[in-house]
Amino acid sequence: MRTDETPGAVRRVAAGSGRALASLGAPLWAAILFATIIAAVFVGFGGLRPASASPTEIGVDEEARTSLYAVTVLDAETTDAVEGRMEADPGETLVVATLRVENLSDRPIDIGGSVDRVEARLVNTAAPLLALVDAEPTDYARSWRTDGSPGTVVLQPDVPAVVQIAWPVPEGSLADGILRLDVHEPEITTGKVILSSDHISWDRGDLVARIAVPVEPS
Amino acid sequence: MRWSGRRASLIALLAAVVAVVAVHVWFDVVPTIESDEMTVVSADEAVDLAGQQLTLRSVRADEFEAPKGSHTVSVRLHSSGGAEATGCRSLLLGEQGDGRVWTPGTSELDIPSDAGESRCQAESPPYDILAVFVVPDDASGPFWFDVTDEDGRIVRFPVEF
Amino acid sequence: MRRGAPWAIGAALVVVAGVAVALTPPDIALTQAFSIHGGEGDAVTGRTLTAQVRDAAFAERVSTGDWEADGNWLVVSVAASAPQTEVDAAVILAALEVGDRTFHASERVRDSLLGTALRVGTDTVGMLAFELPADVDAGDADLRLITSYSTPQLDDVVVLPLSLDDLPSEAEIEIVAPEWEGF
Repeated sequence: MRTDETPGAVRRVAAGSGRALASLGAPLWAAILFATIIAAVFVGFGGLRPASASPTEIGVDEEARTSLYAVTVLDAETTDAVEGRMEADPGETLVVATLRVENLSDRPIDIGGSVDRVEARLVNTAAPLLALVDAEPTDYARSWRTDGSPGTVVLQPDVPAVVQIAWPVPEGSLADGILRLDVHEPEITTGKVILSSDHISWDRGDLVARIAVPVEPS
Repeated sequence: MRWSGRRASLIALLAAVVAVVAVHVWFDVVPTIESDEMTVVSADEAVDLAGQQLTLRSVRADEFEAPKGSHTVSVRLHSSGGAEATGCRSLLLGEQGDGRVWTPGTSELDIPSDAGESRCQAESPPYDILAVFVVPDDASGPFWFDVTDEDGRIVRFPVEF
Repeated sequence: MRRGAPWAIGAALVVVAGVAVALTPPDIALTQAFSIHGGEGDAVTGRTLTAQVRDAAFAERVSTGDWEADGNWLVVSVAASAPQTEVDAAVILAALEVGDRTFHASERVRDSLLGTALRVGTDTVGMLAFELPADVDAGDADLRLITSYSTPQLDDVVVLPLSLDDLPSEAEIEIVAPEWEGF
């Protein structure tokens, strides 16, 4: 091939491969564009974020904040009975924590049960959002407001409340005199199949904070 | 040959459909149909319910003070009581026709405590039951008065003024 | 077919599918409660409840007997009766919807209308107290009155509109136990 024919040859090869690509046609380009858009949306919405953050360690009077609730431990003690509320069985003791709890969701929640098909599962389930560490509750925990209000504690959205939660645990559970409470992020699931589809429950998600508070024996 | 084969399978399919529907209705639908066992009593007749004999003694209107726009309907029953007497689930007054139902307002009214019991009594000597209903003035009757025992058996006394 | 026609048709079908998905009600709509609305101040009647707002006011403190509590309280006076039967007739749950938040009438108030037996033909007038965050002091709200422990499925819920603008604000409101009207 003569050198002055090379540009022409190159042009012919380039044109040939261009025609090959073009012959694949518009569907390929549409697919590439579509995939790029999906990837951009994925990254844009945080798909490449690290999976979980590390939990913070906090103490008394410090707030642990999740996306749907916030809790601050004000005091902790062990006792055999809370007058008018709860008594420990023999061989057991009560761990009573005084907390400020704030409901940050948009519907009222109950600490231990369910309110109008919203079950917040903060305590009293197999995987509660507020979990005692180093101590296994032997029965249901009970909660009440410290101002003597009757009835179960219903937390209204964005209205903080000072409550006490008492867990019955085996005697000698908190050996080092420190109450550790794990605070978990709630993951909202709605009922399917067995429960009606408007039944909302807060399932245990990532650990957000571990509260460690010295316990006063009484 | 091919025709009868097709027909046979069709008949079998239809029979299966009928059988499945029948089994479902028998086991799942029929038990849920509530059958109220109700006895309608004519006036002055004594009837057995909740281990005791009940007789309608009187029905009076306006016997007690009621809110403006309504009046009281007081129903008195006599019960024989007895060792086998048990409690009743409810005492209800209903309007024949449009079906409004009232429950006794005895606790909110000023009724002397010796005028009668507000519920069926278990294992007691003969006693009187007094049930007072607060009924709006536009309810003129006729009514019925139902006593239901703990098993769900109902005795209905027609009430007219 | 012209060269661009399949593309145009395909794009149109995708758009139609997107619209259909967007318009389809969620599963929850199959068993949702029926909301019965009325005008402000009107009496609204559902299957198990007839209710009307009589009065409403904000208060910094509510008290009943020897119990009291401070906060941003909204006290609503409601007249309620049963339209058909007195059996199981009571307002068990009262929900106030303001913006995108829902508040329930406080269980802390002993003499509220919650749980009081309602009558056919006679109104019972009682109070409902809502504990609200400090930033809720105006706006339009809906008061939903329910005669069961949770929002029913496929049954009526009475919805009373309530405007929070221009409501009086008291220092303290004493909750009065429910009573029959006209007595």
